[in-house]
Amino acid sequence: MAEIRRFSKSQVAIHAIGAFSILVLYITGLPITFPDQIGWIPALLGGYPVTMLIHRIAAVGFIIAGVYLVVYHGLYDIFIGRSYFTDVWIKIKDIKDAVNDGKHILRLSSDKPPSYGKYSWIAKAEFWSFFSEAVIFLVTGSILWFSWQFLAFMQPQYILTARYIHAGFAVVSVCGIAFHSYMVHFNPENFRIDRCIFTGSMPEEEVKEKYPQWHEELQRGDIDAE
Amino acid sequence: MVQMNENKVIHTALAATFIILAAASFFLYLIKTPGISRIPVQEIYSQGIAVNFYVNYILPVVIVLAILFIAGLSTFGLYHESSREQLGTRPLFLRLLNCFRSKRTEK
Repeated sequence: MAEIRRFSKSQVAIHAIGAFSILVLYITGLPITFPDQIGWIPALLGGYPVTMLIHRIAAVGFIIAGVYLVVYHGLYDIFIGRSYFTDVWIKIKDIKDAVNDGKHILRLSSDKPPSYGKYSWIAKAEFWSFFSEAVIFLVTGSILWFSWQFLAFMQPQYILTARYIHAGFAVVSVCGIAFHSYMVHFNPENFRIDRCIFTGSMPEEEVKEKYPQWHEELQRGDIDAE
Repeated sequence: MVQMNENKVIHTALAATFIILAAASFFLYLIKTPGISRIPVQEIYSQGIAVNFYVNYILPVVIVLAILFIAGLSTFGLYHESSREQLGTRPLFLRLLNCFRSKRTEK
């Protein structure tokens, strides 16, 4: 069966580094926010100083993945053409798809459910919510990490605010990751795991079934895979 | 226009990433904080009331909205990509159970 390339090597690498570092960030960061409940994790890791060191190393990995994602796709768009950013940009069709999907699920419409392009409106919403959370983590995390420097032009109370925002959005992003895990592991169609993000490609039959519009575009030769 | 292939884009992006991060770190370490010899942790906590207004009232609203957004997305996700044509009138959990069953029998 023919395979269609969905993700480039860079995208697979960005996902791997980002996913691994964010899991380490949860394991080391949440016990700092909830020491009474999961304080045993830092104890296992060798104390809070070691936990904080691991947290910062993982943060560097996460920042590298995030900056590379923006720079790589920006350059790709400028010098080669249509990149991931072009594909995940929210369009009017996505809003229409969301409304039609809602109508279909609530049985308010007898029309066929919308057919998706390379990324459905759900995938785009998921990406942009992760992306905005990553920006919040980058800003608040930098304030906490370099609090000494930020005190030069910032009221001390803002550091406390940054701490609350950082911890609050960590909890929010855990919800997002839980949803993402459901989609790639427990969704009956993908159970036990969707391997596409590791291999970078998926069978043509699957593309035809899940992303009919993308398949049509590929068939017409309007776009290249990836 | 400079012509680039994917390999060149990867190398340029890697180089640019490390330059951006190095520049940001260098800039942060350049900043001097005059008159402060330690991080005033106790003061920060005792004076935290002014900004805590935002933390106490606005942040929870933002977080609740974000969780509702993700919960809404998750609810759609349950139906998305899982045989939406065959939804029928069965409850969701029965439908999911059936999907797992059919997966197993296929194997």
